[in-house]
Amino acid sequence: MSGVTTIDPSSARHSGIPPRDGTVARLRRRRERLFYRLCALPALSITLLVAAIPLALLIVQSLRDQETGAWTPSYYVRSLGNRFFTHTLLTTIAMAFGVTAISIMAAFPLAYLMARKSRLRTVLMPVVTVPRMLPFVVVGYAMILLLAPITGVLNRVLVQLGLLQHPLFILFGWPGQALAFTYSAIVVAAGILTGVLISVDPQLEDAAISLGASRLRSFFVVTLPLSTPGIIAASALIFTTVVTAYAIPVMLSGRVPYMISVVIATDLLTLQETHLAFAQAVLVSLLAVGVTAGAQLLLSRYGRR
Amino acid sequence: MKLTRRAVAQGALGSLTSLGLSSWSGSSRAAMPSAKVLPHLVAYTGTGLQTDLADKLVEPFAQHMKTKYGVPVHVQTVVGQSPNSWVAFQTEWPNPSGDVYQLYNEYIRQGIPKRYWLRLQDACTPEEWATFNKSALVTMATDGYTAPLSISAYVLVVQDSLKDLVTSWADLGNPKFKNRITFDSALSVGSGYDAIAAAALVRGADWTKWFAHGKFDASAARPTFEEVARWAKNALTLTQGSGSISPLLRRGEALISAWWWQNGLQEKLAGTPVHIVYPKEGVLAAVDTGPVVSSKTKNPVAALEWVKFFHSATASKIADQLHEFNLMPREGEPAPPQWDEFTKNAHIVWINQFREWTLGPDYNRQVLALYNDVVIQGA
Repeated sequence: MSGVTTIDPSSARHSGIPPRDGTVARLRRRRERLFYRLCALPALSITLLVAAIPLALLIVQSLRDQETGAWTPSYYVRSLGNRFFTHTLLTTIAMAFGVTAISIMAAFPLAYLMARKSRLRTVLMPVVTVPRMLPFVVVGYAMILLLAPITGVLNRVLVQLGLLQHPLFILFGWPGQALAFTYSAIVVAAGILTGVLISVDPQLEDAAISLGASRLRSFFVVTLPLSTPGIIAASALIFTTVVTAYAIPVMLSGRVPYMISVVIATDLLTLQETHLAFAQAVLVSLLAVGVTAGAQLLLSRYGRR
Repeated sequence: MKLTRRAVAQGALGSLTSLGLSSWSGSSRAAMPSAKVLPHLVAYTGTGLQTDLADKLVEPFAQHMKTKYGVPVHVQTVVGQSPNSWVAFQTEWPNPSGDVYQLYNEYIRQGIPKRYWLRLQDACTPEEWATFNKSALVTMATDGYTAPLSISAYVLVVQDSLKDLVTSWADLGNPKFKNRITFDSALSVGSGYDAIAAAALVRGADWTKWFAHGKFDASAARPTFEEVARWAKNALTLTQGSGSISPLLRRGEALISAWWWQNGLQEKLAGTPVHIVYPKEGVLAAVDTGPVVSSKTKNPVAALEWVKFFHSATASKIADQLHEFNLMPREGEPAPPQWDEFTKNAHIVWINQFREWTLGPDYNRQVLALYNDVVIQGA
């Protein structure tokens, strides 16, 4: 503290009253900070109430014996030692990873087109976002109409064209669920990537081309690196959505559940193994939170660069 | 058992006396209590047939009571699953909010020693009581507190294109029908347990030996569950109740679905080209009880009249109009042709006890755990 009077131009500008000395300016800054913190308070409170506290309760319950109430890590040991649980967790991760990669790759050209052609964007965006507005149950039913073995559009067309001799029974297996997830995920990816690509100045691409780069090289050297934050954000969102998805796996589940949420729901609702289900839910939440936190870390590092 | 019965009758008598009722006994003549008829009655009506029927009976019942007692009693129906009504009743006891309850047989039996109910048989003449199906009364074992109302029969609903090709429960595992059969998962709905009983029937397994003193003998039951697992591997999907069976049959995706007889008939009436197959090993059936009257009702005359009205010819006619063909006709009452066809062709195997054990609190989790291990996880 040098004792020199400091003037906060921004606060002066906002209030319209010139600061008389450093104390007033500090007081004003403190008030502003308090104001913004108060504004954030409702959202923080709701998050604390509906997310943090229930999750904390889940963790506590998952560490207590369902019958005696004694502290025990046994539900975590049982879950991670159960071959069916770990196998289903791995198929869930594989599903989420695959859906994320495919939907980002499929959505990128569409997003690029919409970012560069504003008129096309006006027409395409509402059409593309329709699936996002549909409940997952409806998406699941749409998949039945598309993929049903005998009456589904896809099978009928392929059989009529002679490309298939017998219909594919993929609807109630993992491919049916993967298609349903990808259908929803492409929309998320297209929405996020379009926003990011709009902010990439097209003149940068033109500059690269004028310096001798091909269109493809300018895409990989200029556009792709600049849109990486969007790719990271979209990937994290899609991955966590798929890992925790419940409606589509239930609608399109055959005999064997491929998604972990179905296993947890069975333990919780049917088998009444509530504390075991809590432990499994905590493990899945850790996975989802870990991916989100990792994405945030990557984004902040990318931002610093 | 006799002591219990007497105690219950005395309990009912006591509660009615406390309400200022003068006549209530198990004499040879029907003895309706002579309390004042109040204009309002609350009936917990369950779901499905029972609630549909109850809603349709509200108006005619008001007319009936006006003619008989000069009071047009309005019945307020409360829809909800039987387990929920049972929990509500026990929580609210001794001041339950309902006068009449639609409950599962086992709940009624659990309530008898606790003096929860008024005895229906005492409000009927012996001649009236004799018109109820005797074997159904024995199967229900509710000791005269309720009468049989309907039957839940589990059959195979088969596309007409497979006429005469499907005859047995074992066809659910027939590789000729790979990916074209469905049946409910026990992890999702109660009807899923019937598939286990069907597999036991196919294997000739004695399921009564699986249950003893709260312990479920998983090793004895395992071969039957493995049979269900084989069927599950042959299935297009394991369904989650009627809502998921019907579309698959209508679209022709499923050729064979294990389903309720009643739902199969309604599917036929809706125009789906299906027929009912009564498997040669037997049709699995459970008797559904009619409503029961709370012993704490303030309106016992109207409550007992409501229950009797539920079992009346008027109710049967309305059930026919609703295409609810699984209502059990009383002796001397005309039955719809669907019922006659059913009784002529179906060899009935009663599974009330099996359902009560598998769905009851003593064994349910153990049964489901084995189902999850063997049928779902394939362990």
